Order: sequence, then structure tokens, then C-alpha cells
Amino acid sequence: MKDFKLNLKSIGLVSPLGCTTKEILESLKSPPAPNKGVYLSGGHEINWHYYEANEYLKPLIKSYKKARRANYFTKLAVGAVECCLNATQTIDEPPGVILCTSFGPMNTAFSLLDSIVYEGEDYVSPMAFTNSLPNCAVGTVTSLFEWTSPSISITTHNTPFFQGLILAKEWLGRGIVKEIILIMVEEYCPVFAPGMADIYPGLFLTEGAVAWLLTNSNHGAEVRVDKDIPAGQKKGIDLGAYLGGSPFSDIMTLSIAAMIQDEIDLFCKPSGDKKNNVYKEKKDSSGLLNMFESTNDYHLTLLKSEICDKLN
Amino acid sequence: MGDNNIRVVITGMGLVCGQGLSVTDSWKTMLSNPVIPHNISLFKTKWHDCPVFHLDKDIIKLFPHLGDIKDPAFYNRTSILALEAARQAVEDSGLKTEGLERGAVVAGTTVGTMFNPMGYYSQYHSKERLDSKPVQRYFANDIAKLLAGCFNIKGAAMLITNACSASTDSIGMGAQLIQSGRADFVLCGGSDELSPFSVSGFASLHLLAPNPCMPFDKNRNGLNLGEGSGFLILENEKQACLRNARIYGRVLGYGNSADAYHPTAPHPDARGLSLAVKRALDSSGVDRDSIGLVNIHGTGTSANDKVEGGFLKKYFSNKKVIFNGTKGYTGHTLGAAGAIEAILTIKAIEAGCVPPSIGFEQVDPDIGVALNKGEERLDTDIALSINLAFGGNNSALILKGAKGMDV
Repeated sequence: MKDFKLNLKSIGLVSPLGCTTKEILESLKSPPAPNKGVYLSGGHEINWHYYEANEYLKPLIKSYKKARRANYFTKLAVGAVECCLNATQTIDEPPGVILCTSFGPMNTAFSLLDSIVYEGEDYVSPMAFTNSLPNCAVGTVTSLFEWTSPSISITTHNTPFFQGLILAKEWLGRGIVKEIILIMVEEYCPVFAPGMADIYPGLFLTEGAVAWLLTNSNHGAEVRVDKDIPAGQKKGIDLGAYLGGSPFSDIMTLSIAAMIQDEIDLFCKPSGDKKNNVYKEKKDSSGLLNMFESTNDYHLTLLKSEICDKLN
Repeated sequence: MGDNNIRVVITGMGLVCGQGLSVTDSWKTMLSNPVIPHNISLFKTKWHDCPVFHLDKDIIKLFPHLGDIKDPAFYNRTSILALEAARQAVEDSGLKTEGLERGAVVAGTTVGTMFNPMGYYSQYHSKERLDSKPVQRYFANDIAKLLAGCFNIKGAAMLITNACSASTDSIGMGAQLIQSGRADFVLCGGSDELSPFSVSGFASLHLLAPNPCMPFDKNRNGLNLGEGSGFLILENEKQACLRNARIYGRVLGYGNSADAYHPTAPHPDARGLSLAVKRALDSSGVDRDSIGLVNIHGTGTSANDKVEGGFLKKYFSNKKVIFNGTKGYTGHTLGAAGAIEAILTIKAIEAGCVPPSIGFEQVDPDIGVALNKGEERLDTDIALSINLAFGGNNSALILKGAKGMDV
């Protein structure tokens, strides 16, 4: 397999700040306050903050009749893919699909548990069961767009987006596909949040979906997954402060930064309350966006982004 | 994968399934006195009389070699099954854990990634004091990360969740990582426990058989669920030869596709399956005439077997191929199925004999494919192993057994 440049042709996202550059810039003028979550656990109050993205999702998926039975998790993925496709001129042939998530469709899994525990096994919905599988979102995306190309679902707490990028590079390098849609999705789950916030005080959750159209041709921004961490300068707006701290919010932040970097000065500092600066993002004066994950030595760099020109 | 000079060999295998707690035990039991499926006694369920394959409730006692795990109660069944099968595979390969840095883990599972502790959920619902230990346990039970930590593996740690084809994909991707030089060896496979989730879910779809499953049979009426785990060590052939490793076989090719059709039903013309098999063959450098054995997905459900069997009949119409179904021995182990079946396929080639396809009696005229009823001699060394999954995923592996290998 020859070495090649992995390029990012377009980005689609469904975020709490909006889906398009215009919506995001508008949101940043007056950033929405995150929602507050509270759970009283035996006299002890558990608190957390969270953002939801449904405000921007609804208008996106109206046209998708076939997605009407899909759960919210899947609809987030479909919305991001649609935005991603809208932002590019062409797709040569069906792209490979890689969907990454840390938690999967948790709300659907809990609704299934609800049936088992409180209603009885007779009331388990077959639709809820199939929708509770993380790869159901991939199945819906491939069905809606009629893509019979290779498709994979990755569910891990261990840097899911980076694992997806490694796989994308494998497939593009081998010529298995010419392009890949790499999706990351997380949904806010009110049942899971208090348990997580009890372990991680100051928890700040963000939901939404990001879709990157990746190619090995010379279109768009170069994506590097390597060990060189270029130096960066901090100035302007701190996006990370708006979107919380998690592997997903970091990818979301990086994607938003790539979309709006030509519009405003920004920087993204180590997010949330993460110890040891596990995740960092920077932008230097040459228009370079960088993220690295130190525990696994995976570094993600976006170079000379042209993608925001194609987004509106 | 035939376009690359790096050959991928299998140098270690580990297996835990309804037939036994190791590769050797399982194989021996299958050929001598197969275990039959039994009622569910792991947890309370309305569907307890549907036959399944599950291990003892106190699973940790079955695996004394896992004794050095600090807090076994912290790990769920899926993780414990994975740890044991992976331990066997690493030990079998002769690799030492201090030399595994340039490795990777690619694991597959279905229920292993789900957060579904009933106690936590009941506490939340009744607004009681919330015990967050299940959340900590959930984070600790990411099997790819867990295995990477246990065996000191520093490379990629991917957890594939392509439902019932997850571990077929994990083997295919493991082979790709070796061929691209990203890893010298890969610990790959899959694991899944029997859970109330999968029992209730498959029952809601009316797919649980009331009797031992009968893959491809005219009178089939559903599947038997199972639990288990299979892991393999894949390695760069040059490295394996340098260290005089025992070589079981080779991963020649891998293909994956999407049906783009329906959340649970396979495409009626096997659109995705035929693409996955074509892609696997294209990447293997061998043609379909080289294949002498097909390990079918063969769940025993009406829809799966009809589509899969229809495709196989057409695809291999001019050639004598042994079609073998092994879910009668293991049940459907979901995310572990692909790896378990790959291991049994390699064992069949090594032994030169294919175990009877338990449960198959009569050819279904709608399918037109007969599975081997009795033990059958196998003279060829190249096999196809296929798995289909909810969500429309299809995956195929071309495997070559060590018999007659030019290594």
C-alpha cells in the first residue's frame, strides 16, 4: 500500500450551535446556555450540563420518509450525512461508511429495558430491539442513500473517531473505496447522565453528529494522523468552552473550527475538566487545526482547509 | 488482499463455546458427543424454555487461568469470555506479552457495548440513591481496550459492532492492519454473552426456535441463541517464520458490503452477500473454483437461510462444495459467531474432516442446498466463511488451512 494524503472533502454536522456556517456564526454571537441536569441521589445532588441538537435536526430530515421509523441517534447520523453531501459537488461512487460512537443509541436501549423490566417481555418492541444495535444507524444510512459499499460500526470509549480514521486510511489506501463517509454520533441520555456525572463532577455533555467525507484525491483539506504536533497560537474565541469536554465534543469542535476558521479568529483550548490535557486543539497563524490524543499517540491535523468555501 | 506481498497467517486460536472451553475440547466434543441446547437458567425470562447454549452462571470459576484478574466481579460475561479466549490465543501463539507492543486489537461484539444494568435502571426510575458502579463497570468493559491493556498491546484497539458479522469483520480488518504494516500481529475475534436483551429482542421478532435449530432444513423454525468467544492471533508470515511459530492457516481475503435494504431482512436477491463474497475473492487472489468448503451463516430462520442458500446454490452451481453449518453446535453467538466459525473452519481443514451439520435433515426445495449430514472428508484447503447481520451488513472471509501450505 503506497503512502498517500488523506483529504477531507466536506464536513456535515448537526450541532447544538447549528448545522451550517451561517447558523454557527449566528449562534456564536449569543451562545446558548447549556441545559442543567440535576438528580437527587439519597440527599446528595448530582449536577451536570448538557446541550441538545434537536432544534437543528428537525428541518433536515423531513424529506426522508424511510427514516421515519429510525430513532433519534440514527436521525442525527442521517442529518450529518445529508449536510456533508450537500456541501460537496460530487461523489464519484458510493462511499464506504464508518460510524463511530462512544455510547451508541442508549435511549433506545433503555426503552427496551423499560419494556423488559416494567411492562413485561411480551411488550418488547421488535423495532426498538433492532434500533438498539449501534450498526442500525449505518444500515439506515446505507439504505437511504442506496450504498452497497463496505460499512462498519465502531463503538468504543477508546478514541472512536481516531479508530475510524485508521480504518478509513486502510480502505482508501487499498482502493477498496474511493471515498469514505466517517460519521461520529452521540445522543444525550438522561438516564446515563447522572451516573456519569457522579463519577465525573462538572460533566458537560454535547450531543450531535459529525460526518467527514474523506478521499485520497487532492480535494479539500489534508488530514494527518501522525505524531508531529505543530506549535499553535491561541487567540480569539474559545470554542471548547461552549461545547464541553468529551471525545465527541472535541471532534465536533474541530469540525466547527474547520468550517468557520476563515470567518473569525478562534482557538480551542484543552476541553472541559480533563486531567493531564488528554485532548487539545490549536490553530496557528497558517490556518492549521490540530488535535491530539496523548494516551494513544494519535494526532489529528487539518491543513489548509478549503472546505468552508463550500458550506453556507 | 492478494495485491499485497505481506501474507497474513494464523498462529494462535482460542475458543469458548457451548461445546467446550478450548479449541481442542470443543472440536473433540463436536465429533464425539455433541452438547445439545438447553433451557435458559442464567436469568429469569418468559422464554426460558427456548433452547440455547450458555455456560454456568458462575462463569469465572470455569477459567482458573484468569485467576490473576484483580476484581473479576467488575467484568461482565462478555469480557470474561473474551479474556479467556484471547488468553488461549496468545498462549497458543507462543508470543510473550512483553513483546506485543507492535500489535493491535480488533474485537467484535453486539451486547458487549450496551449499558443495560437493571439495578441502575430501577434506581433511576424510582429516584433512589444511584449507585454509579455500573457506569464505571461499563467503561471498564470495552473489550478491545481491556484486551489491549491485559496483553500490553500498544497499537489500535478497535471495537467493531456490526452485529452478527462483527467478528468476521474484526478478522478481515486485523489482516488489513498487518498487510499495511501498521501492526506486526493482531489479536482479533469476538465475544458475546447470552443476555435478557437478546433473548427478549429475538423473541419479539419471533425468531427463537422452540427446538434445537435446523439450519437450511425444510422444517426449520428459528434460531437458538448462544454465548461464547473466539480469538485468533494474526501475524505477518515472515515474522511468524522467523520465530518458528506454528501456523494454522492464512487469511487470504475479506469482503464487506451493505444490503442497503432493510433493518432486519436480507435483500431477497442477496445483493449485499454476493458483493461481500465477490470482494473477498477479489482480494484473495483465488477463484471460486478453489473453494471446497463453505461455513454458512445458517441461523435456521426462514428469511436468512432462504436468501443465503439461494445465493450459494447459484454461485456454486457448477462445483462440488461442502456446505457446513455449525450453529447447531454453538447457537447463534451474535458478535462472536464469525470468529468462532472461522476457527472451526480452520480446524476442519487441519483435520481433513467436516463435522455433521447438526439439525439439518431435509433439503428445502425453496433453497435447494444440502448441508453435510454426516462427518465428511475434506480434501481441499481453501474455505469461505460468511456472516450476515441486522442492519444489512454482510461479511466474508477466504481462509486457507495449513494443510499443503507453502510456508
